[in-house]
Amino acid sequence: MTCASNLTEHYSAYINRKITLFVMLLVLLVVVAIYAISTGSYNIPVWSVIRTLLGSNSGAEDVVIWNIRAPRIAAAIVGGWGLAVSGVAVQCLLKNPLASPFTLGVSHGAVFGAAFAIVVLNAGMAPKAPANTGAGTVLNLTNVYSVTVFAFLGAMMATGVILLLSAVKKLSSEAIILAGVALSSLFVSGTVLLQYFGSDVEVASIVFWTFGDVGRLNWREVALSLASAITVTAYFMVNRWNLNALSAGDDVAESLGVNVTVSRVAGMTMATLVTAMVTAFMGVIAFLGLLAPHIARRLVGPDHRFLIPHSCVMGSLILLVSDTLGRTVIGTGTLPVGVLTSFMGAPLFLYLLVRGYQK
Amino acid sequence: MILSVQGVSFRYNSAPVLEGVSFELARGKILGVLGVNGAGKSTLLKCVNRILKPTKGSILVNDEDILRLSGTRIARRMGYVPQKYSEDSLTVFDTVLLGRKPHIKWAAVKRDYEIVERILHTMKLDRFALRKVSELSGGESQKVIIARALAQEPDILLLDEPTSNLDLKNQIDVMSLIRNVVQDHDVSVIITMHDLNLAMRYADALLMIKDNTVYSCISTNQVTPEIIHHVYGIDVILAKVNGYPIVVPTGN
Repeated sequence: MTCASNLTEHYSAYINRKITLFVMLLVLLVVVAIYAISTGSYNIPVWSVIRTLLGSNSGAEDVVIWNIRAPRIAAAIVGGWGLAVSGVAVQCLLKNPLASPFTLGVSHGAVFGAAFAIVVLNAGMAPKAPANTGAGTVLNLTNVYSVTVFAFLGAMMATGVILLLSAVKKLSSEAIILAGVALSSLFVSGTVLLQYFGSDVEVASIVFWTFGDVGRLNWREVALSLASAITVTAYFMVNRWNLNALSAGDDVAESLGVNVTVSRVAGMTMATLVTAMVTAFMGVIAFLGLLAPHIARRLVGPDHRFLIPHSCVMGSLILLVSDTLGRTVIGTGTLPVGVLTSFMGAPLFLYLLVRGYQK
Repeated sequence: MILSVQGVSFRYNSAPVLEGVSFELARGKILGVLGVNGAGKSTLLKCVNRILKPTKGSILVNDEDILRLSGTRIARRMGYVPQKYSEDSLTVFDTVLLGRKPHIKWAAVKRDYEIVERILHTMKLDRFALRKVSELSGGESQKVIIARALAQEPDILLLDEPTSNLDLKNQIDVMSLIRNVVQDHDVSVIITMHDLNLAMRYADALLMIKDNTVYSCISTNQVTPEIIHHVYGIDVILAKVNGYPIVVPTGN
């Protein structure tokens, strides 16, 4: 009996350590967010930022914070969160540590869908665009929601193929990644083809859209991304025990009462929803869905009860820090954050590959 | 009878794997399933647990047809230990707690933790509780996976070759553990095996599968060299050493 009681205490302490770490990461995220709002080409004292966020400040700083900085910071937090939860889910659902929306071709599918909307449906041009299209025209996707819808459809196409190969054809997890490479190549070719037939403005719109950048979102788009991130995270948190069961193998999951096929299809659809939403508004932010879950897994292990929330906060932190670095240290205020995440993510991908497949 | 399997057939695409398999299992008994490689032993276990849906036949657990039960309700009645399992890095405690999934609504409650503790204690796994399963030896890992199935509080345990990758000592440890589990938890066990000596020593009855169907279903003391010859195509001698039954192959 004494032994059992000690076991409970040890396990509770073990769980509490994970919860404490989550709270610490959350506090760190808030601190970084406030710093990120305060810093930039126009520096704002931290206390002014806090006063503004609490609603007791006004004037120029108020405008800069609420109209420029805060949407960008919120977009980075929501985008990182969304891509991270998507990454942690697909890695579990496909039982492949290398799986992420980017490596499976889902992001490229979204790019193809967006390019299709921009070129074929003219969603990338202003209705009465002047002949001498300047940056203002190019940067203004007139129908961002049709771009979003088609980016989602493109992402779903890639997901559908991956699901077919994994669930119906029973492809191995290694083969799934190779299928992702083939899909990515196919979608890139399709995008290039669309660019070939597109006008200068459309091609510029596609290129602009493709660069992952959190600075182009307004509050409404942040809110939409947030809604999808909350919905999808809630879905996976409700199904966190199912994800743990799926990690133990399909047969074990079935024997524990999980409907594996339904869980996999529904889970991949939810993961795609948030990826497509974030990618449609922000462009391609490479490897974040790989980076955040793996760092979180190192910190709290593979238990999805904790892995999901820790990955979400980690994703937000990585994207926010990357964007802030891109704004303040490396770039001139315009360096797309997708470039930075690629620089961080690609070495991790190679590391995982070497660790997982070395003989 | 706690389990009644009647006329179960299963096909992979169009190839028959099981044809008209029927047998019954009493409470608190161990049924060993024997047969050559590819005979359909693992498929039979998966059909019994409805991991694979039989194309024909009925499977009753406590007089309830499992084809009409939800996955969760089946999971409360039967625990399954696969032949191969993912070596994840969950802790031993978390792995066994996962076995409580069919009983957990939102989060694990006090009773779930108490059951996990009791099982870990009974199986002498409590000293490994917060270690990762992937860091344990093969025998210890196998015990953890059996513990996970036990945490489901099942009436029936389905074990697919639980000793196939274990050394001699761990084979005996795991089989003794299964025998104790049957006595302590009053569960029934169906276990697929290749080792005839272990089967003869630990099982109460043996289900021999040949040509996709049941060749014989008999108690272990009714096994004869002729039956083994017909199932495995090899001549054997049955003997006892210090009271333990052994099967000695004599042919090539």
